[in-house]
Amino acid sequence: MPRYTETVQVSASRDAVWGFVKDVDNWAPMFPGYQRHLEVETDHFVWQIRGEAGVWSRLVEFEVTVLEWNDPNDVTFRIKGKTEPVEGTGKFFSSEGETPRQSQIGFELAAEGRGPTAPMMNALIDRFLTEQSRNFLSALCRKLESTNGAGVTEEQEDPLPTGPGTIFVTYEAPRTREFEEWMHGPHYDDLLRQPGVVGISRFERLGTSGGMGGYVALIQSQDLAATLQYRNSIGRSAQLEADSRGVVRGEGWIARPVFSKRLPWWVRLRKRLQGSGAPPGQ
Amino acid sequence: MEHYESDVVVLGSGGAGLVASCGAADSGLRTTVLERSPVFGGTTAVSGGMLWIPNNHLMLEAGMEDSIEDARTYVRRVAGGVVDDERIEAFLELAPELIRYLEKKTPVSLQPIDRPDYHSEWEGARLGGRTLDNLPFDISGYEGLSLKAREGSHFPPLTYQERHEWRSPERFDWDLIAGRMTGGVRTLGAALVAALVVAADQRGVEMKANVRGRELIVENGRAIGLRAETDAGWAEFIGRVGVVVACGGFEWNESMKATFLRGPERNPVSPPWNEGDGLVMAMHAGAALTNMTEAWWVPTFNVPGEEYDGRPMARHVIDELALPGSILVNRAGRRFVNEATNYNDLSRAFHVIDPESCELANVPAWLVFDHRFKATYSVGTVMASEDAPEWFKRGGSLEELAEDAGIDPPGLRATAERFNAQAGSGKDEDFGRGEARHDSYYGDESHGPNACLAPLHEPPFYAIQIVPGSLGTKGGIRTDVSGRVVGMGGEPIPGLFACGNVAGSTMGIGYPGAGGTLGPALTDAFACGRSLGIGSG
Repeated sequence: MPRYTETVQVSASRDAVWGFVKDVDNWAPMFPGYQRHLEVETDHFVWQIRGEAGVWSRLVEFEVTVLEWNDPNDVTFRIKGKTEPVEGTGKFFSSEGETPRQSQIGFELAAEGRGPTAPMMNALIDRFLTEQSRNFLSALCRKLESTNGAGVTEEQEDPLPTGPGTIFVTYEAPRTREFEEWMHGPHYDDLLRQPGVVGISRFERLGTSGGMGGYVALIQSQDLAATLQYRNSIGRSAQLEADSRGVVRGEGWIARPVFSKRLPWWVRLRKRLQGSGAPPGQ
Repeated sequence: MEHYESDVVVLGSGGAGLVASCGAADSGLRTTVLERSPVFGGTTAVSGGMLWIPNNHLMLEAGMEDSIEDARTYVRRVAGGVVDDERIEAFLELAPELIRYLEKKTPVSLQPIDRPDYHSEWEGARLGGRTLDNLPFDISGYEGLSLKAREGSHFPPLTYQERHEWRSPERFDWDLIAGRMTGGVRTLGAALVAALVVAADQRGVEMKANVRGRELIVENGRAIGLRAETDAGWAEFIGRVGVVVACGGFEWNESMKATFLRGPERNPVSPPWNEGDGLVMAMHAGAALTNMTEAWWVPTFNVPGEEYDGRPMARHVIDELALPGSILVNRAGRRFVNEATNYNDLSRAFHVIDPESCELANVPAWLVFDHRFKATYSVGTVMASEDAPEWFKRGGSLEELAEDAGIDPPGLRATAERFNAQAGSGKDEDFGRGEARHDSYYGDESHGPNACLAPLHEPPFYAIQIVPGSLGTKGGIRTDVSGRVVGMGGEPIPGLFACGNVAGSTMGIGYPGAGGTLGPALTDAFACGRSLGIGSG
């Protein structure tokens, strides 16, 4: 059965987290594709989600039944597709963090298709379960940290920058084929799937030599808050893996676009031709 | 304004645009393809992807006989007298060559199937072989292709032949489907465009997405490029040798549809980018038009909540109209057409205007069926084993169903009684449903005495609304047999070419068989590519 499970640390107290989570209305709209939900009876809901597969999407409905509230540790629930032959279970849990203003939260979701189309449904679920659940957990963390749970005012960290921008990362890394293949393959594939990220470029600093190279990575985001939140929580595991593969002296800066201007094409062309020694006009 | 230069600029990245770009690049021309949407593949990607090519070598090698004489006879009748013989002749000669080219020079892989021509009883028709189905195409070996090539919308990743052989989703090989989905295997039109995108890439064709062509640049009567909107603002794309307009029809442009089309088109099956941009650009440049009243008509339905590219998604309905135990009725409850006839010509019945009321006589229409039909065959997206969804209209009796759907109850009752009596004898006295080989191919051949006829008598009864739609329009820019755009004065406009749904189709008013859209369109595109190569020399 396709399954997603993830635990992250948030900068919000456990009480605040649980107070927030107890009210479904607080977090339901954060679920990717959420349209609406209806509480049919106590702890029994019908959810409507817009399920997306590439450019195709469809409204799907699920019955969600809470099996047990175990305050303030966990809540378990069961899901059953009304419009799709899918069933599954889920769990949200929390525990104390390293400080009183921190806590660990976790989310589990397992679902599988039923009937003759089950193999295809499972392939679809497999494809989207992790991505959608991660996006949900990331949004939930962001909300919890920005409001510290149900809007309880406590000392807040600086708000994350919003809008488009670029994350500059400098680091040193081994000059090995194995590392390059991992970096340019699964690692960057993972980066490109992170919320807000729309592009990535990697540069090698000239003048460095030896077994370790100096590098700069430019991660372009159309939603810095989403990207940074993710990188500071779930996405931290990717950075930890990079460290385990030999990355050292990593530092990062965040920049927002201020000004941009390009020379007209004919000036660029002239410069290029002049630079190559060709006579102007050719 | 940004400025880009190449030898050839192709506007549109459906099958036609991609084949034209490959042809131009084969002649050593630096070629740029511009696509309005974020991904490449256009209308072709969401289509069945089949090519209708008479006398193709694959059918002949498979022992399926054909001749250019029979094809000529058949195509002339299909085209309805609105296409000149020179154009039909050029198609018949060049089309088989296109298939050899695709097979030898691109990753496109095709197989002939036994799907009959749409007028299987007409002189010169064939019962199989002219329709070529795409073999599955594995995109996983091509970096970035999954994000670059448009995904299909309507089908699980099965070939048409697999779909037809297994028929019911209950018999589909869902493990195979899951494996293909996981492995990145595409089929039908999505396979065709993925293979053509690879072919274009291999030739060094530059491909730019999110570029909307707006205006041709014409200097001294010659088209030398176009101006376009891009993410960064306006840009000029110069094509020293030529410009190919291949950016689809106008089925998403309400004003143009109301102005030109012969009947209602309310549910395009294509991606929602085909707003006639290329047609307007060519008209400004003085292009002549042809066949503007026509589209590749299809009956469609909608599943509430389904979207493609952010717009309500239309689903093409074929089998449900031919299988035994369904009827198509208008609001008076009356049948008005052979439901099993080909979808293009069936749709002509939607164009009829009642002379008394001056309203469309057969719009809206309803596909009506009974419990036996529902429990035996898939209907739309609903498998036989599944419960009827809420969006099905239903009733414990035909009268109750009629009330629910807004159909005249006595009219529906009378129609069903007459139909049921004829179904018992296996002969549709009113419309001849099931008599042509074409009809029975889509019917249930295990059902007798007529594969397309069975009575409706088991309650509950159901209905789904059928809406006139299209795969795309097929009238547009007039071109000559070399793909050159013809001006209002009858002379070609130098440097300007067109192919695909933006141009007038060789098939005129008709639809010869499955792949009748893409076969001729890609043949025209092949001609464009060749002409550009010759012109550059």
